[in-house]
Amino acid sequence: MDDSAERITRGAAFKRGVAAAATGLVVASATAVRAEASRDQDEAIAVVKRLIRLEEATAAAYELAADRGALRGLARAGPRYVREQELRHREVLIEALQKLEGTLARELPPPLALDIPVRAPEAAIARAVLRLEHRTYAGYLEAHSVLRGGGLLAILTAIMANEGQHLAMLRLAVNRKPVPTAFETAGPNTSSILGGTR
Amino acid sequence: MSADTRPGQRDGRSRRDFFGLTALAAGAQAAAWSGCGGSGPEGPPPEVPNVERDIAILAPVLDQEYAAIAAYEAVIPDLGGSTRRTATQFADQERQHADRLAAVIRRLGSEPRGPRPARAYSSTFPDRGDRKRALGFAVDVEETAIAAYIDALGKLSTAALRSEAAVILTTESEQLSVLLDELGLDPIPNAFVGGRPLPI
Repeated sequence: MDDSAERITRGAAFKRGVAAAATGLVVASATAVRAEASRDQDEAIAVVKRLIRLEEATAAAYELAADRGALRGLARAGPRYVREQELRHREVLIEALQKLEGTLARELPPPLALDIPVRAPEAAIARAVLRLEHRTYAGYLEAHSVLRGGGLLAILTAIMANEGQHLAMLRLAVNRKPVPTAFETAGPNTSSILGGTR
Repeated sequence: MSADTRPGQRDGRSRRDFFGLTALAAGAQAAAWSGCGGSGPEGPPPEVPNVERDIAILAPVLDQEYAAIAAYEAVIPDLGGSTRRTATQFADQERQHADRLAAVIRRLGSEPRGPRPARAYSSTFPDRGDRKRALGFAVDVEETAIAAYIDALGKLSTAALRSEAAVILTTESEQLSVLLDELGLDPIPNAFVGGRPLPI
């Protein structure tokens, strides 16, 4: 083998090495991106499942309030009107979940306990609904720090703002200031509403 | 109740002029930034902080808050009793939003702009003169603010910033409901504030 042939061979080998290394980097990078996307997807699915249960609990609380004659003047239309909005949220969340999972929703977490005594007086039911609504809002707010954006976050934003409106009208109904603060935070005892999703 | 039937929107073309321009500026600026290394409109934003882009998104939202403060100051004289107290409280809350946004922009390493001269805002405000029109204008102000925050929320690059925007957006939505209620309208006319987003 003459010198030039050897140089060509070495050059070719070097190029092949660089190409192989570059390919390896690209593959590793693509794998990392896929893994991150998969992790994001799993997280989004867990968040949505939890939010579905929160919506169901809140809808049930409004139903109980309506049955017991509590919150009659809520939002000018009564608790069943607000309950319908919670059910619309649930419906859209289930659609989102089906798109995320590519199938029907499976293995939702256990339903949340209402924690409202059936024979509680109207005022106590109203306060309990307000607590539940605040917990639901806190779940959506927490979702905004868990999810990275995109179409799902846009849906959750639109619902979260509506839950805030429910809060304002509930406060009015129980003779509290409807917008007591310039920053509607999740409150002191709601830091792990979506606990277990991360 | 359809949003189109609200009194605040029937003759709202002129009153929207200023706010429309503000929102357009926000959208154009954000769109310009989205073409500079950010994700496209379909994809989620990267979690890697994009400080310059975040500042560009928040700056027009801050100006929107200044406009809201000016608007409330303009409508308060048209109101009386508890409605006046409510509007005064909301004006104060808008000032707190502006202070918070300015602090966030400062934290990101930029000096926030202060409000423009009062005339720059008030010159585009609609004629009011009575309670109903004043409240209708306030409804428009809140709807514009909500649109600005929803737009910003989908583009901010970090969870911390999204959370900051989210707690303000919710407050603006609550204020909107109270104003609609004061007008005798359905205070929560839609289960999805800002309209139902497109499916994911």
